[in-house]
Amino acid sequence: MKYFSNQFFKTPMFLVFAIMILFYGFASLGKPAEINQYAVVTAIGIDKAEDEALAPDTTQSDNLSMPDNESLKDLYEVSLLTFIPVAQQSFTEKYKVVNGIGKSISEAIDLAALNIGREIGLSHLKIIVINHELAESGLFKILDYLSRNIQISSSTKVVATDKTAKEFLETAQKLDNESSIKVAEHIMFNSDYIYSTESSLETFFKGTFGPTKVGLMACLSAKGKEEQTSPTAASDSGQGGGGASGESQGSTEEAITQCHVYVFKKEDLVTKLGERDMKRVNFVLGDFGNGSIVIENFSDEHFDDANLTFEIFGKTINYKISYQNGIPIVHIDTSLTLRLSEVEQNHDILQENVELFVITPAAEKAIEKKVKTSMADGINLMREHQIDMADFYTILHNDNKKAFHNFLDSLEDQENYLSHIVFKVSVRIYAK
Amino acid sequence: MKVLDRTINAWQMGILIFVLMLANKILVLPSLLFEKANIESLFLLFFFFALELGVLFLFQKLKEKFPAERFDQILQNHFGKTVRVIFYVAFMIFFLSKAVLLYNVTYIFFRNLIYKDTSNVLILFCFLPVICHLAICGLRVLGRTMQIFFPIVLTILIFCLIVGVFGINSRVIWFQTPFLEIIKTGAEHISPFGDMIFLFLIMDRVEIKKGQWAIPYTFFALSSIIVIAVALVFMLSFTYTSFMHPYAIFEIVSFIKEFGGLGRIDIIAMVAIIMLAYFHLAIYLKAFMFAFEGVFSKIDKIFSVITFVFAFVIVVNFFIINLETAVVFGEKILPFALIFPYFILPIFVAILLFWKEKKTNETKAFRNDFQSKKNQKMRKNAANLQQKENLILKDSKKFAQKMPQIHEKFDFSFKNRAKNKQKQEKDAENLQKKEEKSLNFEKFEKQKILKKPQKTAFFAQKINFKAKEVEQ
Repeated sequence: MKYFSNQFFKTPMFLVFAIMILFYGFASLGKPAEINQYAVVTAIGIDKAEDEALAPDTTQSDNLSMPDNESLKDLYEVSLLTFIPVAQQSFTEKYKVVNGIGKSISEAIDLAALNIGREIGLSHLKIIVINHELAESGLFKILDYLSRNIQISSSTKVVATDKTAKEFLETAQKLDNESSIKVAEHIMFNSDYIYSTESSLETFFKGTFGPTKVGLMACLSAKGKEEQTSPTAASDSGQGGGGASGESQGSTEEAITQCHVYVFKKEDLVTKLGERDMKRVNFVLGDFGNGSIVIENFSDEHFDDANLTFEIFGKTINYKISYQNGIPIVHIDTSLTLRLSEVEQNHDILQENVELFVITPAAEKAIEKKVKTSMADGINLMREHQIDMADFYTILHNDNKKAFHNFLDSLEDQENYLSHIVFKVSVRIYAK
Repeated sequence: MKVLDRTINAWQMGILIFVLMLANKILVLPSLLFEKANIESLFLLFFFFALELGVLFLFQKLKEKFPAERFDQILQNHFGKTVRVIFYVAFMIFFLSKAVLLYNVTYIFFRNLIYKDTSNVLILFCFLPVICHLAICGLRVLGRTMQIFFPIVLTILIFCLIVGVFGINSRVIWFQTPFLEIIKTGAEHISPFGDMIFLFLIMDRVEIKKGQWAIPYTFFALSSIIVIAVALVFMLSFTYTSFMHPYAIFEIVSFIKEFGGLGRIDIIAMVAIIMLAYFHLAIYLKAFMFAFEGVFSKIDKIFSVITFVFAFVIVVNFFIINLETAVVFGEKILPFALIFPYFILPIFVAILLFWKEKKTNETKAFRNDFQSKKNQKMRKNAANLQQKENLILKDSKKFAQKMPQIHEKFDFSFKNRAKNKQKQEKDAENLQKKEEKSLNFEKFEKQKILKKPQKTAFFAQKINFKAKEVEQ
């Protein structure tokens, strides 16, 4: 023992270790646990402040979130879908929508924090919902805060909504509670389809700060029940393994649907694309995993005036560039792997074995025509709004910098370069 | 406390180079470079590594020419004491500044991502004792410790790179940044480089056998490839949003949270960053210690550690206290210090290698011959010294093994010391008595001897008298 004690005092690192344990031990004992310090926010909704929002309700027990003598036009209302973690044997997350109104987003969040008496933890934030009016007018003011906040992950989904963000969050919360449909997963799943696009902070900023300055954002519509007595009464609920303590009212009326994709260029909203338009553009972009192609009124040796639906199983899209008389020609080579998934004929039951169906040359031609038409429509749409969603600028620049910039210099309106580029499309179809 | 500095071999030197090349370049640098010079900033990395390679090459040549000499001795012998002192003061300032920058970057990284409410003092308390201990234990201990951790760090980095490759999904625009902008960006962000001059400070403590020079070069190439690969993967993954992702090695893994569903796997990258930060800071401290020794050769080495700690704490807590000042320091002030490793030092080393060589060209053959003999002698001496050292080590190990027994014996003898003393006193008394006795006996014998002639004379007289009487 004596030997060990002697060794202990002779070795300075032991002493350092002991001091460190004492130092940090007391430091950690003196601090409150993080579980008691933070309110975990999983979704943020941002609206322009309105009279209704200023009206006191049960979530705003006092008027701390109401700044005095402020013009409503300049104020933001932030709604936080939050839960306070409680150490229990069963896993329960009791969600609540909390509001705060401020001159800036950060001030509104601070004021919302005062309503729950906890620090707002944004590390688990999954979705940011922005009211369509704000998205159309002052989106970049909001995104500035979101891009600077270190806590917010860049993979956080960002969407616009046609109603108020507060309403959207309440509907999303109810959906989650009643049917486990989560909006963040909803957006992630949609992005794989040809009708939609990926809508996260990362993808939006990549487009906005890229050479084309084009950013895309999905717009979702929340359909809530109109017969609800008060929105705040519906805002308290429970979820998770510990058993839900949610609403007992009918849940069939709540739904979240995609309405548009907002296209921004240089901080301005340029256009809103519907599902059909997105499908056309996505054929050019090649930014999809799933989807279907419908050929109407098709007739060959197997079918007579039938509507055929083909499911897309795989796609490869290559861009090849060539120049003719200083004008760039973009060859878009598309290969699609399809499977006939549905046949709709007017007269009788289908006789052919669908499992062993091989796409006939006539069907191939019809599909080719359909895809080419869609792609042409997509390119025209981009030309019309001068939105280079496929980033042809980078493709052409990387291919031949000198030739491309000579071409640009030759244009009177350089912004409208898409209209002067020649596109050639080839489509190959394979059966799965 | 003694500072131990034994020699290191080629492998340990290689790992030192690996750490020096990596630590400060895979965290913030790729983001800062891309923000200003886009993808073309990769060429800057190639250029900076070429400069570092040049410094390594100069070191090799100098080491081959002066295999057993210290760099300060070489400087003093060829350029005088003043140049030596100026050089070593520059080394001190340079490595202290680099340590401050590295610490700040690491501190900001951890504060932003994990320890949000932690103060600088608490983090300093974690770093300083460990790096001081590593530096005091000596170069060999540092090298060996790094040898242990090297496979872990390398595995983590390769894992991060492989995972990061799956996150690449962006198209990046090439050759759009003006050349002058690239040069300007390079000048602003050169601060993480220039660490290779550390090798000059440990010149005499590196043992590289014939044919082993490939080892440090291999480690250099490995670390350069990793840094460039991390930067490339990061830039291709995040492109125009790189400014939102300041921590490259951490960010390239973080996307897996969403898509891979593997949770916080990005913690793995943090482990590598922690290890590299500790070792890199320890190397900087070691460099400061060697430089301090070169300036104040008569002062104990431990004062160099104390000086470093005080200077470091003062600079970190009072001058470079936040991200803004750290960025200003790293982009506006420290780049000027890089003139020293990339301009001044190479000039002097080139002079040592070529100009002095020409001056003594006439006696070159003789000198070479003399040098080779000298080298042989030195090698023999070094081998002998090594053998002796090994023997001493073995003895010390044996001694260490016997230590408990010796302690036991010592304790036992301590208890019986009083008895032994009494015995010794008794023995001493007895001895004294015996001596006295022997002395008395001698005296007695002497007296006897002295008396004997008297008696014999008396008897002779008696015999003579009786004989006379008989005659009469």
